[in-house]
Amino acid sequence: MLSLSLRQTWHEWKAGPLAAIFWALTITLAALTAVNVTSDRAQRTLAVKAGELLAADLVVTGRERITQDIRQSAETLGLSTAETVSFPSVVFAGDNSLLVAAKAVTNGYPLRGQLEISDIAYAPGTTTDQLPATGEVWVESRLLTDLELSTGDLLAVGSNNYLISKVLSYEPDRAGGFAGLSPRLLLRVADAERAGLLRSQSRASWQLLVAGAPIIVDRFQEAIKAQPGIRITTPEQAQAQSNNALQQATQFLSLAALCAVLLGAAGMLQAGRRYALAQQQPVALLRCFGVSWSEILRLKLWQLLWLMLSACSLGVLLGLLAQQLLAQQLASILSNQLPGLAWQPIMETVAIGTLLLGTLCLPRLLQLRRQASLAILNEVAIATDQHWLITYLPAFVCLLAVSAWQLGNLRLAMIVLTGILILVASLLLVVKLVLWSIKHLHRISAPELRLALSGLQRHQQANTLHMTALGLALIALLVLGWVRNDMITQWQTSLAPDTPNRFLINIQPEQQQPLQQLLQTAGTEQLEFGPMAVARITHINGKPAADWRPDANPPGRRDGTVNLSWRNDLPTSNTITAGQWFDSSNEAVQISLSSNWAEALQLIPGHTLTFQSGEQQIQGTITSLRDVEWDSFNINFFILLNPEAAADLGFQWIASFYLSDSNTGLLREITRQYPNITIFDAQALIKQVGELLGKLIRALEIVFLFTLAAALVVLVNAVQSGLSERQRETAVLRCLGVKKSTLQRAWWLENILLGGLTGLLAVIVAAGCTWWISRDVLDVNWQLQPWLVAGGLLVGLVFLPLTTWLVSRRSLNMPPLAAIRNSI
Amino acid sequence: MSHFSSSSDSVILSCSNLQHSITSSDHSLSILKGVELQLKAGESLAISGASGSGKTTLLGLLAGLDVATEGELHMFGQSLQNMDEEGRAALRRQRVGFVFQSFQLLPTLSALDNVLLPMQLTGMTDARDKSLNALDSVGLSKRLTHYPSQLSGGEQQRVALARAFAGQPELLFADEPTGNLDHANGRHIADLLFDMNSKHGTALLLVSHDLDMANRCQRHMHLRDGQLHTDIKQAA
Repeated sequence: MLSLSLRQTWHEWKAGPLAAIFWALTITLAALTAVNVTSDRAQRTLAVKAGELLAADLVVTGRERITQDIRQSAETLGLSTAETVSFPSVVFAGDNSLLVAAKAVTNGYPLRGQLEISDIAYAPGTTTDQLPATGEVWVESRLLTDLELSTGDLLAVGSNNYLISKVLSYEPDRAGGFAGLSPRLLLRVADAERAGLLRSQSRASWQLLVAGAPIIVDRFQEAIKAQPGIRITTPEQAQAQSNNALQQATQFLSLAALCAVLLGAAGMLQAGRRYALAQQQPVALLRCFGVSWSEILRLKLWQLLWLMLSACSLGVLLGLLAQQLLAQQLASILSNQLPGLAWQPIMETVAIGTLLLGTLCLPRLLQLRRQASLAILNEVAIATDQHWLITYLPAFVCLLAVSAWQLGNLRLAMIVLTGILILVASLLLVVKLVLWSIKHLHRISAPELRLALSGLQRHQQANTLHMTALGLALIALLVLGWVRNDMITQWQTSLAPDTPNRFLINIQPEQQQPLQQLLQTAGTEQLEFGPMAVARITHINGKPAADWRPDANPPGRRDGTVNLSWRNDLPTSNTITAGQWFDSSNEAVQISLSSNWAEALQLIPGHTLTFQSGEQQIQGTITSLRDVEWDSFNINFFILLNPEAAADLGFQWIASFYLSDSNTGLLREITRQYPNITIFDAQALIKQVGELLGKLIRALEIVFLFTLAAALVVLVNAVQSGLSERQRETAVLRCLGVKKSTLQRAWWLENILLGGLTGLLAVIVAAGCTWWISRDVLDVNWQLQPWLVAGGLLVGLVFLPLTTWLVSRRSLNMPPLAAIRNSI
Repeated sequence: MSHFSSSSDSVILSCSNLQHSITSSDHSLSILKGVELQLKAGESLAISGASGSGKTTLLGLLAGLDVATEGELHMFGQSLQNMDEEGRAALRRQRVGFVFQSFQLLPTLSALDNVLLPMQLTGMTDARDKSLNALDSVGLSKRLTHYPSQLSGGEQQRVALARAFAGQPELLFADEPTGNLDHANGRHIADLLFDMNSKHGTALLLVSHDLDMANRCQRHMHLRDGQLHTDIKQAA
């Protein structure tokens, strides 16, 4: 049976339908392997080091250095402690500058897990118990490549130069999650203090790391939890946060893979039906010769097994190649190197493939049991249809289960499946409408065009399938291309030429005057200074703030503090939407809120707010709400006060200005003279965000290529299943005297029209999707993208006719007599 | 003749009062109305009749491919009416062969594989040798690897003949075996069919329009109005 089934598989593979099942399954498996193996590798960066996520057993975080009291209470309990402080900083190498995520640490760090370092960028790291020596820094590979440096070079950080002694390839408390936008720079707290980096750092996040016996750690947590201004994080909380970010990213990829899986499944269902139809004659014949059903079934099961094994081998291989590309995209945005391949996701993918083949194709084959052997004499297929539920229910349940497993969420799977069904149904409806409306164009006199148009009508069922399959894949690719190529570029370049592109924060009051002079002398444009204080809202309308709309989630910091400023005039990028701007004749405390912040807390003019800033408490009335253009890159705040109200508040200055790229020496000078000041390069930041999004989208595009391949299988299947009808039709027309060249021209016209319509439909739907994305997600102006529109139309116009021609050319060129004989 | 269990004058196929009707939603159409027939081992019997007279339906019932509405039908002494499809298939397995009007070769298989497959699936020993011998006996030993699309109509029917005789059946059903062939090819196939029939001692039940061919059978009956009429040859 083994060799017989192998030979039979080979013979039937060459005939078509079995090959279509093979390719649909191969593509499905490739898409699943690529995404699942990548997700697994990314997830394992978490799982392997789950216990080390905090580099401690407990972390106490505050905006100020954690007090001596807290530190001492930990040490008194016998717990190990270490301190870290994270803050953004700009570093320099020659004329190049880069915003980095600096972290200064004290001895003992990390308390759990180990650092990994190497001598060369992107080389595998080795564990170490050391920390950077005094005067040295360790940096992430990305920093070296961005600044074109290597270990042994000097890096200007704050007012000092530091030796880059090692490449930091792993730090436990950055495991798994996304690395953020800036590369890491690790140094000692003492060095950071010496370089003036920590002086009045408003952007710093101080952490006290604590480790010890669980009971003692719990006791310590209990003792300090009521202390104000601190946040306590346990490893469980940290893991949930990291998992969340990574899960969202991998869920996007899974969603993209699901498109390929669903199209592949459609291809398998379609090819399974064709295969079962093609098997009616052989099964009837074998039954006629007395072969029992169990023997036939055994043969078919063996054949499916060979098909499964070969599709698995090729699918997994293609998937592994694709995941290599995906991993390259993800590795650069994940903080740590991805671990190697594991067998589990591959085996799971193979199990899914088996399940898909079993539920999508086997019910059709089992239907052959009812195939009457008498059919061989009557030469008609005796009705063997079984109830549609038996054919489609296992397939639907399986697809739902696979979707839920793939997305890790049954509800989401149901939403996605329903969404796709609605999209497909809408596409089908539109396609039917388009094809129906063509009916009215029949009066055209050119015979080729008339034949082509009537062909579109006659083959409506097959054409609808062609258009829907290719249309879906095209829409996915067009939307991604549109978003990646144009919206992100537009978003990155949305700054007008002279809008502020550099921000300075953390400017101490005494530094403001000399700094302003320095900036003016250096020729900066659009220079604007604003005062900024950090405050905590204690009461709203006389009630404790925590009791006011406890479910509300206003934008801003999670610790309940908010930055506020004060000024006489309404900022240029703001518009009053409710109430009146400050009345200068009134010395009472007047408050203006950004409307989105006010909406989140359901605040309106007339409500009162009480702030605590340092030792000062301020109570005032909301007098206006403002719409703020956050993307104007002017200095903007959620909360503004009238200047009189803020007279006694402690504050720092914040500055914004436009600086041409040729004048970056000024930034270096600012860092040298005022190391505490943090510089933000808005353009560079936007560019970094754009690059990150670009990488994610490129990863998605790789996965969507499988969707295109699956669509191709569906398309080829659809063409092949309608081939005999076409062949017969062509033969009859030829016999009736229609010229071969006329028929060929009509055939090309029909397919070009069909392809063009598909391209047009895909472009319209993609334009609608991107319009929504641009308006509601990226908040940029939607623009028609002529190249993508042309590309979409061209793919439709070329891809569909060409594929159809490649599949059917031999049959269509068959002499009429042979075609008629074949179709009898 | 390894499977022969019946003597040369024993009846291997018989039916009495065989009736068959097709029922659709609103009416019933009676196709066979009490057919009586007996076929002895090694005997050849032709059944002719007008198009739509029910010849093929009768052949299907006699071969156990379908079940009659009423009547008795015995093959090799066993009642087909009381058997399920699997039981009838088991009876056909090694004792019955078929030749069809449209050859019914599997297009994806070579000539050799077409002959080989049914025997392989039923686990027959020496299947390959038997297939090679059968193809040799119809003069196709040089076309073993050719696919049906590479063979002429006559050659395809010769492959079908080889397939039918390879298993050395005791009873062969032939449904218009020359119906799709031109005169010369039809004659050649008929010669082969009768040669092999006599060589193997196989009983032959032939359904055909072709009177020449029907007359080469030992007996010839005519199906009219759902009943088999006098053995034309004997009457003559």
